[in-house]
Amino acid sequence: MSRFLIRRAFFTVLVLWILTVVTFTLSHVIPADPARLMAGPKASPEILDNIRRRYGLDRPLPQQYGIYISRLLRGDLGVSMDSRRLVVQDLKDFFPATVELVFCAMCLAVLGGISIGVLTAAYRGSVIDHLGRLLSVGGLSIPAFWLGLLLQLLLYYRLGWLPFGERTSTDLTAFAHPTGLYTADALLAGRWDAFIDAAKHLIMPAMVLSLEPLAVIARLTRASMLEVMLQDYIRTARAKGMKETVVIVRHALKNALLPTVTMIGMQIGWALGGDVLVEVIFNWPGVGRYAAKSILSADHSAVMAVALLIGAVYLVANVVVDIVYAAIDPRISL
Amino acid sequence: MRVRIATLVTVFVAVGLLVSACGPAVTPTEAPEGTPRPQPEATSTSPVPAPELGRDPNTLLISTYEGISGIDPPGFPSASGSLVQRGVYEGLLAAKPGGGLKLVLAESYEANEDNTVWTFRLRQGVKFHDGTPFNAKAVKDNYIRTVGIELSLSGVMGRFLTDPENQMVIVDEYTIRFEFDEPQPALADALASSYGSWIVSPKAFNENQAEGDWSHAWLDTHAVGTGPYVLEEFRPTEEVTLVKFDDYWQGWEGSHFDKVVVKVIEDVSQNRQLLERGDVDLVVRVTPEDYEVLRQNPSLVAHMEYGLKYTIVFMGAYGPLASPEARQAMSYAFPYDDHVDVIQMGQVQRLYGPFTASQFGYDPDIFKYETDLEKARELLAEAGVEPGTELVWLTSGHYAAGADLLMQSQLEKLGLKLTIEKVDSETQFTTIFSDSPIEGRFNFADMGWWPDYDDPWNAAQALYHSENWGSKGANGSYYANPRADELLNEMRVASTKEEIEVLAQEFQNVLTEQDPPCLWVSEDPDKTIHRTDIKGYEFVPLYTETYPLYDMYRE
Repeated sequence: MSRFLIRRAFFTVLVLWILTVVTFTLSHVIPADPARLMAGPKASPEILDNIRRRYGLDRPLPQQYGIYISRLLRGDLGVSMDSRRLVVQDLKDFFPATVELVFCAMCLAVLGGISIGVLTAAYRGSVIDHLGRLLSVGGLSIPAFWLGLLLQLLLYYRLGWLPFGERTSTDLTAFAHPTGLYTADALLAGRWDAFIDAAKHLIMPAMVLSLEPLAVIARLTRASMLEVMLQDYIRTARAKGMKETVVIVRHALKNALLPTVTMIGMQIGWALGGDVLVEVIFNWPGVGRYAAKSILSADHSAVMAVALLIGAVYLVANVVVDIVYAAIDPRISL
Repeated sequence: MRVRIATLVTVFVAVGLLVSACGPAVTPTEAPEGTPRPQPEATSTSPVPAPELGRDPNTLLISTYEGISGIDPPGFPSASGSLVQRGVYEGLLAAKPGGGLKLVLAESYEANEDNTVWTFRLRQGVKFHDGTPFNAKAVKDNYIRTVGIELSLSGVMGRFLTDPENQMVIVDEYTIRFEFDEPQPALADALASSYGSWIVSPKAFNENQAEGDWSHAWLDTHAVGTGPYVLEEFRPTEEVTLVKFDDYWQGWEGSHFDKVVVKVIEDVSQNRQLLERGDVDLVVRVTPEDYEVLRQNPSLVAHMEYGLKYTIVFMGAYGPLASPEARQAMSYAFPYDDHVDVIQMGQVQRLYGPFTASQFGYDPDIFKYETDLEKARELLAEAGVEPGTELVWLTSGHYAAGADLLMQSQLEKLGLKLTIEKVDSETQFTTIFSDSPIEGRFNFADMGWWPDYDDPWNAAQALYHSENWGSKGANGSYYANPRADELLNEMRVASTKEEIEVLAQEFQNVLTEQDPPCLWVSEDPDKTIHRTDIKGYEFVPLYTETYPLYDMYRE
């Protein structure tokens, strides 16, 4: 196990370093001039030079990269040219919002996807199966932005059941945010009103974000379950007179889950990427919306930091999946 | 089973379409009057009481469409930043809704006969949010910083203050004198600007310095002014909260909001839902389609007022459009009425030259281009532009949406080919204001603009003076007309406003009939919509997309 972890840690660092090289190069070769964007059209050449000097944009690209890496190693991600704050501060504010959203979405996706996969496999050919498959196809083919807008129109605008977006209502009395996860913070503060408010704000974006991973997990679980249920040991279990529920849950599902667990790891990475659109639609102040805004304003430091963060989360999620894999299947050793 | 699936799919799609088609529950009333030039009245329907408010009535909720990129007064110019600054900062003077200036932190002021010496007597008993007193030293220190910091808006005061330390003389604690070698008739207008003229507490910028930055980093996310509201929370991409300043010099008698929250909702198409659900009180911008619907909603008041904001299309004064005749031809080819009436749904009005109708110096008898393809054809032949010539229009779709397609169709009739190059707005911005070589540079590029203050030199010099080509300013056309340069230089040192006005009139003639650098596309109004229970809003042409927060209240 320790050798596995050391090996993966080495590869994680290597991949992140390659990521810095690629994102640094890409973000600096695009035609947008960050100093001009920051200064506005009326700025004189002297003012532009002043801004370039202040942000180190007047130096050769390799030197800028060297400075960036040396600062990165000290935990300094630079200053956002857009928000005018330390990027670390921005990420500290925005990342918990994304974590909360992705976590809720993945909970919905995993619980819903596995349940639908199992049910559709168990009732193959029935109405339940067709409905489940319809949902899976729909989940993969309905664009998140369309569904998001549709839900906003229905659940916020027409029915008024849910807020249109954002994390909490404007007139909610403030409460402390030690974790940055508003639902958890509200519970820690003993504020039920705040918890309900934050949870209501989470529902729509989490539903939209969960749809695609839910569909993928449901389809994979169904296919895997159908394969497993043809195995001899399942026939043996049934021949021994076990209840169908026990056969499905204890014998079939456990063995059918391996590919699903792998897929869940990949879907966490997808959700972090797909999260950009959902956050923009629902005005969700997370890393996705921050990334979209940073890209559009050529905010190099912020773009690099977000790319690194998402890359790191993706890599860590895959390590966790490998560990879970070994825990589920004793045939696999790390 | 196939039938059942088909039924389910049909039901699903039908529900989707039904929900998509759900429009707002509005009761159409009589459409408001059209907007006459030069300054139309605000449009409003027969008002009905606003829907019940399920939130704090003493809080004003405003939805703006762009993140607030820093609020240090000499820093980045943005309408959203200016909206916040107008609540927390004040200047010596301010512009009035109907034109002219009013006293704010100045109690009175006077200039000598040739406008070289300006004396301001300051209001006494005014405090900054940090408790320090406002006085002549604060004004002097503030403008020394504004000019010395060399940021985007330093030039607003930097135009006048080339030697701030010696040009500002403290006569006594509440009197300051500006002394210049040249006449400066536009000083008072610049002091009323919402860009770069606000007074910041010297204590704030002396105590929060980092690496000699004049506290720019700190003041980009904090604000210490004398204004009616204190910056309580600054989350630039989400929302900014202002709360009333108890020691405000005008006091809090009468009706005012205790708190103002500026929410950043970047997708303006969401504003209609938020307004109709009562989740915001006022929106800064809506789509043309939403404006048409919202202005007929009796529980809302819709304002569409023209100020100094406009849209132009740079024409590259090189390559096929190098000659004035070629650019005149393009000016005759552009279908102005189609753009105004069809594409923009009548929600803009014609711009005839470099200044809007509200701008000081505007000449109502200016030469006006009208669409005339035959005239365009003759001028193209005169300019030697061959049929089949290929031109490029660089656009992000952000400024003159649809104008590129209209022009493409017109140029096709003239035997020219127009390629539309669509890029994101940041790339467009930095391409226009760059020194890119003429080969491969666009022939047309659309852009929105408004001046810092009501002065023709300020409105024009960055865009059209040959000193300001590409990266050196905002002359995206690479335009160079010796007479236009001369006129701008003369405007810069003119001794009276009357003299400026005369020079501005000739300048407009040069840039229209003789040698147009741009297609003059449209004057763009501020389209502000708010609930009927919000009162006190008055449009000031100079203050684009900002509001008199102290004067506003809920009825």
